[in-house]
Amino acid sequence: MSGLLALAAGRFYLRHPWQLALAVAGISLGVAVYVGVDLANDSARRAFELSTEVIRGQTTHRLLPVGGSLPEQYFSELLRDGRVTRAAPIVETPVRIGGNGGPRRTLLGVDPIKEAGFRDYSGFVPGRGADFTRLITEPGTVMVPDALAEEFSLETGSSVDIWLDGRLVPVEVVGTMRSVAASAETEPPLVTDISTAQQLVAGTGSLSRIDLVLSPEQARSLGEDPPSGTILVAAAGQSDALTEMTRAFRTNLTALGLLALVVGMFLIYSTMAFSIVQRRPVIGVLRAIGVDRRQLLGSVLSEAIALGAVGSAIGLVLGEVLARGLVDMVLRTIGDLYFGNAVSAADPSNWIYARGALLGLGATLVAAFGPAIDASRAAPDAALRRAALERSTRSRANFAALLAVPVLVLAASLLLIGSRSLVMAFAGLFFVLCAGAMLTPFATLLLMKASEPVARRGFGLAGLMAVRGVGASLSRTGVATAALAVAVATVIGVGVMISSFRTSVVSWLDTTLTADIYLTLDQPRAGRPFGSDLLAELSALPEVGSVAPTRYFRVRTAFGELGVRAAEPGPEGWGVDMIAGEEGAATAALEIVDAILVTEPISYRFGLGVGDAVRLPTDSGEQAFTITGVFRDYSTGNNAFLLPLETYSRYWRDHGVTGVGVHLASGYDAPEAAQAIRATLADRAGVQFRTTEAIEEITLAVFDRTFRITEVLRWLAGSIAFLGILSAVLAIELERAREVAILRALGFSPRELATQILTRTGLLGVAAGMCAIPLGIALAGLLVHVINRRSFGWTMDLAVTPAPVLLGVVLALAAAFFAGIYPALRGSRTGLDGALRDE
Amino acid sequence: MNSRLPLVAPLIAIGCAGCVQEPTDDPASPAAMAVRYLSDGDDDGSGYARALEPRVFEFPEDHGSHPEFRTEWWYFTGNVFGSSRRHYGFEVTFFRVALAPTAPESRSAWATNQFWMAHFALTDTVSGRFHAAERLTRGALGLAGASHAPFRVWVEDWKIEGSAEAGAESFRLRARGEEAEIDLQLESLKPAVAQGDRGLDAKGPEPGNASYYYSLPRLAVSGSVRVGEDDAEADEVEGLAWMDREWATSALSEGIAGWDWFALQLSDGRDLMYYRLRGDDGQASPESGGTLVAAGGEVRRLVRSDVVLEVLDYWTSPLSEVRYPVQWRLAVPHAQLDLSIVPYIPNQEVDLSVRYWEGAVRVSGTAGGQAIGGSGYLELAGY
Repeated sequence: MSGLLALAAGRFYLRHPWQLALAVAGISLGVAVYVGVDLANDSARRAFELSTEVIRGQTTHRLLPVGGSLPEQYFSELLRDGRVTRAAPIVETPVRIGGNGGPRRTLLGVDPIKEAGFRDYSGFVPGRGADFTRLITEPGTVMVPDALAEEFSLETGSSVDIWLDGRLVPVEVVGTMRSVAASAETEPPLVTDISTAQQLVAGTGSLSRIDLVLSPEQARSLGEDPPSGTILVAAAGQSDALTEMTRAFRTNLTALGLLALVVGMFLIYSTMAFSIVQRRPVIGVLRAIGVDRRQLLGSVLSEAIALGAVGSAIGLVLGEVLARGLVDMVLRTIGDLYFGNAVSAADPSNWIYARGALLGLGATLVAAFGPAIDASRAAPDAALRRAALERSTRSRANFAALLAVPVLVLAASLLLIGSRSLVMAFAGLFFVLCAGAMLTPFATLLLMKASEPVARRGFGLAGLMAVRGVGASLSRTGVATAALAVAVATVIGVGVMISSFRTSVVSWLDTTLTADIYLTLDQPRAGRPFGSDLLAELSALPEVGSVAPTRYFRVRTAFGELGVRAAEPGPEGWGVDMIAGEEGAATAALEIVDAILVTEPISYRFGLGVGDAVRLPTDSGEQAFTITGVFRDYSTGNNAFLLPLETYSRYWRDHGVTGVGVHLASGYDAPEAAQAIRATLADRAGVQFRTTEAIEEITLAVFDRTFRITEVLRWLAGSIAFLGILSAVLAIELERAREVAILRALGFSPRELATQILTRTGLLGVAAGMCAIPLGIALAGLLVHVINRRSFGWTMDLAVTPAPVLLGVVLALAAAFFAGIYPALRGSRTGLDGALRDE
Repeated sequence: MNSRLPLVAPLIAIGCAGCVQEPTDDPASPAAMAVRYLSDGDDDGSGYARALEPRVFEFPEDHGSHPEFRTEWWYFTGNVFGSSRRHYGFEVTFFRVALAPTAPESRSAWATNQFWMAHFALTDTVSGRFHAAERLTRGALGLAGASHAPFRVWVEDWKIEGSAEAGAESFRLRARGEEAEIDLQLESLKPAVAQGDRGLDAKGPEPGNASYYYSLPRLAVSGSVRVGEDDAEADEVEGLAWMDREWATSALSEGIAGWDWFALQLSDGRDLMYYRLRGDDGQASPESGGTLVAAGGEVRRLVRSDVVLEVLDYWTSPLSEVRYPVQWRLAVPHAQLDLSIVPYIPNQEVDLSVRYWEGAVRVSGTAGGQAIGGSGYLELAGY
């Protein structure tokens, strides 16, 4: 008997190859998107770890200067006292290769003897002919990265000029290094002996930092009592925050990938369900000749397994292809956001393929289970009747709508219970989508009912038939419509989220960037502030109205290493977008008490609010500051606090600044002022120069690049839904061939028939689109207020603009309409005899 | 001799293939990387002083540094006993290697031509464990160095310091590894012994291929040894130590594969040092030699023909899979000495940037027909 069942199924798909193709395509695409995202994520995660490893090496801790510089004597004292056993001194400085206009690189002064114990020479292993003896014993010798050697045709023995501190210094190449990270885009440093580095930067006597490998006891002891003017920072601390954020980013992507799989499930369901509907006569016959329910159930499920296996296999291959494209996007985004440069890919793990295959199979089985039950429950006679089916579908639509209520309650509780959990948030979001899907068939029926009078008046009988046709064929269109609605809601929701986010970022930039031109050090962390002479020189320029110096530094707090900005208000105020604390009062308080403002992400992550005190290490010992306000900050990199320069100079010794905001005098515009300032800065290396417009441009370019992958994924989910609706509409319309023939016989013209078919499918699209709008906006709300908040600690304003909403509706309509074209063409060509010959 | 010369030979990259195994590419051994990178030069030794003539050692000056020579070392080995006669062996060495004949001209305090390496190994016979650690650093910023007045040699927190007056040498030796620490007082019991031909110890037939070499063959040791975690209790110990001093610019001749070095302190008050320079064919070269120092300090030079050496047993390192001859018979027929040498524990392989076997040994045998005992150190290099 099972042979007979398999034969029946096989025959069915042989006669309906497009249905087979669509089912397989649904599974394949779902699996492909999921696996693609997973592969890209995994690869990105490993690349991220690798890059961190390259930068950090075995370093567990860093000894950093609190303000100015780190006396080199600390290094030998720590080692000679036995307080540390593994330590590497670092002197770091930005340089340009070839001349002032040349490419920018870091000159890394290391002790090669100590460095080897840390990170294979800062992530780069010496190539052939590397002469470390010469590096140590001959001043003015460097090792250059392979890529740079190639670019400048350098080899061992060549001389190259480097530009630093406003002068050109010739250095000799004594070896090349190949990059461990193996990425052409990363910018490996030039490595030199620490004595050469000190001599070149005229920084004799001091270090940028000391990298350490410490045992827990050593770390505790040194952390409690560091040499004066230094702090001990866990090397991991810095990247832990990064890890958290990149993980959130990847979770977001995985969720989108899963969504694609869920939409794929709808497609599988709709295909299976429809094939069951189509085979009801056969099933009726089978039941009549004695096939029992278990056998039927088993048969349909085996069918699903076969489809799932084929679909998943194809999905894995497609996923692999997709991943290649996605990996680049993910890496670029993570690089943009967190590294300031590109991160290179790593090989993915095989688990992902296994997971993808299992999910594909599992999803197919789950999706097929309902139709399988349907098939097995059918009584022999009912299976042969059609009307019974449509009636049951209608009541099922009502039932699903009722069921949506508890599902919504479940979603709300998930969202509320896990008040900070990202996974719970996604689970809640998933159930909201489920509820939306459940409501769609019911809403479709309501919509059709409501539009009946309009259709009758507008299109007469044909219009009415089209409208009623939609409702009447809900057994086959319900699920497809729901799938389309969910997919379109995703397109709308993600679109609205991105545009809301972008709007918020633009407004944040407008608030924050009050000056016209910004000067920053290439590497503020290297701790080489401007001299006050430069400030005076800048102020003296006629183009310059005023200058607002800022000092950026990092401190070790109970919450890890955080960035602090000390600044002065410009002519337009502090330039902060306050979200907690009254702006006037908060900034006024800054000037009288030891007040401080905290950024939103840090406030969220560590639960710091207005009125709370934070303790920061200062040069005058630990000091408590009171938080008077929380302000928006969409930048990444653990920027935490803002305080007045005056407060800064009270507690910290080093009064140099790391950035200057230049406000132009009235009557001058940025380009001409830029010329003058550029001339003033001509001989200073390591000063970065940007106009406000340029900063906005770069920020938004990075923003857009960040969301490109999100865009791609939502369109992939949309395409799967399109396939779903296509398969459903095709199936229905092709099955209606007989009905169409009768209508032809009744005197409908081919044109009228085509119009009717297209109207019907178009209406389906409208229904899906209408359902998708509220669902999409709800989704956007969740993404903006819950997911982004929990992922990154950012809030933003939900801005529902018409463009993404209209786009979604147009997509739904277009999907349904295009799906109707082929049946319409075919229906209009139907001869009078062919389809009715059976009658 | 010794022998320690080829240990540092790879540092200075003189053709000594096979003396010491090339450090592997294993990134887990960063020190090995450092050593390998530093050894990647070619240098014929010009610009440095050479050991050409015998010399009269001047103390305390010669206990200090000789930077005009390329390499130099201070080598301490000893056997001590703690509570319940618990035995420990220790080795502390300080190597100085010049990377260039002269120091670079620079305003930076980091600029130097001196590279320092120190090894510390502790043999804990009762637990059967062997601890070894090393320090690598540059001779700048006070990180490492040597001086004779006051006498002081140090590499970071490992150091030997004290009085180096001739005949009254009194040192304090301190070193600490992850699970072992020593703090020992060393008092010289015998005057310094000039090795080789009045201190000039030939390493090959070529002139200048030699080192200046002297030893303090017997130092009384007292102090403390700690094994285990930082808070483990220290064991009060007493025993005997040996100090070797050598400086040179040259290295081993071609065709020399390594050496086997013995420094033995006998229960009758005599001290014996002998090294066998081993050719590629496994045979002793004519430059092999040593000294036998009487209880009263009289020195008798030993040449190859004075000594009978026989391997009694081997031990294969599970780590490096190298087979070392760790049990020996050493006889000096004309002194009526016939000694059996057995390591306290077999695994005393030092596997740091340079790999060799250096371990505490127990001596038993006969002297003029009378039973005799003792302890000492055996060094096996080039295997």
